[in-house]
Amino acid sequence: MAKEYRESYTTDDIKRRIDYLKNRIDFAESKYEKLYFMELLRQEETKSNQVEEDETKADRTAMITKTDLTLEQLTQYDGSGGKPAYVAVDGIIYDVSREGSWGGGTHFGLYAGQDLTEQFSGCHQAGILKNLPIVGRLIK
Amino acid sequence: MGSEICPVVGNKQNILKSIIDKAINNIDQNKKINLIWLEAATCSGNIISLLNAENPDVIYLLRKMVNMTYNNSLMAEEGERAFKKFLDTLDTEFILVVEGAVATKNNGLYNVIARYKGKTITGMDAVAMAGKKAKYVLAVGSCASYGGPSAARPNPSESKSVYDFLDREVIRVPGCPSNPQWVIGTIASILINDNPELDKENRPVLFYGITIHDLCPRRSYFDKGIFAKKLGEPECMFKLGCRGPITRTDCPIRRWNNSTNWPIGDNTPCIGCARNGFPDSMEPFVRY
Repeated sequence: MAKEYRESYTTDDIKRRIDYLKNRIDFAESKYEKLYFMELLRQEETKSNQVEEDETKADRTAMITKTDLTLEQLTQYDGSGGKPAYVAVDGIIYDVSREGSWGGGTHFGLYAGQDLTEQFSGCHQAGILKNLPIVGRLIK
Repeated sequence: MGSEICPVVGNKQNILKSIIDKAINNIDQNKKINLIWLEAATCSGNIISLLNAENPDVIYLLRKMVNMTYNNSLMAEEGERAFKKFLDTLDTEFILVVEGAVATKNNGLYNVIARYKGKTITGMDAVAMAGKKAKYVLAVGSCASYGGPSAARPNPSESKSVYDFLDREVIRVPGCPSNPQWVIGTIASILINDNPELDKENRPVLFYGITIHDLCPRRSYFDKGIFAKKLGEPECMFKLGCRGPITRTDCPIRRWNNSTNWPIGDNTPCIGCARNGFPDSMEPFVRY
């Protein structure tokens, strides 16, 4: 229930307020009125960013505790025969089952179901991982 | 859909015929540009594919668009007389089309294309000679563009793509083989416009602007998460190893064999034949 409230607060409320303030800035009659609303908009945007960040963090933390796997268990999720395709990078297991570049659980000669930290750091920046669903932690 | 988002869909209504017409209006019929179609380390698949062209066909290309002076599969001359034609063309303004990679081991001896006055001419010599003097160079097919099957592991002939071999601008028209309309369309756009719009890998945006996945008729299955479990099923073949999401061509709308069929339409996943890394990095082609 608390989460539902938060979601409605973030997606609708803040967005509506931001739109409203932007309108007021556009149609402000004086410089001071404009400055006043710009300050309010700044506050609102900071709030929005904060909430968004918190949610992402909360989601990620929640996901991290979902399914932890050992390297041996991870090998089951290699994407073959329609199975999910998971890969581990830096101790976190990601789901690449629906990732466009991972057709059939394979990716430029690499196979899912493995710890690919080394291969990942050879080709990509860490930023691209943030859009991937997290499965859990890799148990060493 | 706006043309800014999707160049192929935006241009669909006026893509090839209009370009050809424009090209014809822009060239003097008596002064067609010469064209050398060189077959280096190749299976000759691209020239065979070119013969399959429709609307316009290859006769139209040869009669109305360019003056093809040298191609070992099509020309009437043989032996030294054939290669003389090649040498004569080098002194004129010409387009060089190369299909096949450049075999570089042992000075290119793995791919000999002619003997002239007692001398052995390798594909590497010919590409270097013509590449220096050509007005435009087109690397047609995946071997010429990226190395392709010729340069696949373990690459015993040490083959390189024409793009890597020549130190100059090379337009890539990849595909295994390249669709005849991509080739004729690229030549046409050169004839009307010195600088066809190219992407960062030097491919014409007109044909390589969007991925196969973008226009795939099975896309809705992917979006809903419904996947084929084996070949022959009508759903999305992503989980069988389809490379459509990472391969940029307009195969879904242009198709092959006079627009009759294409891999996904015939129940086989895309194997990424038109992209960098084919075939080694695109394997396995099918995964159960």
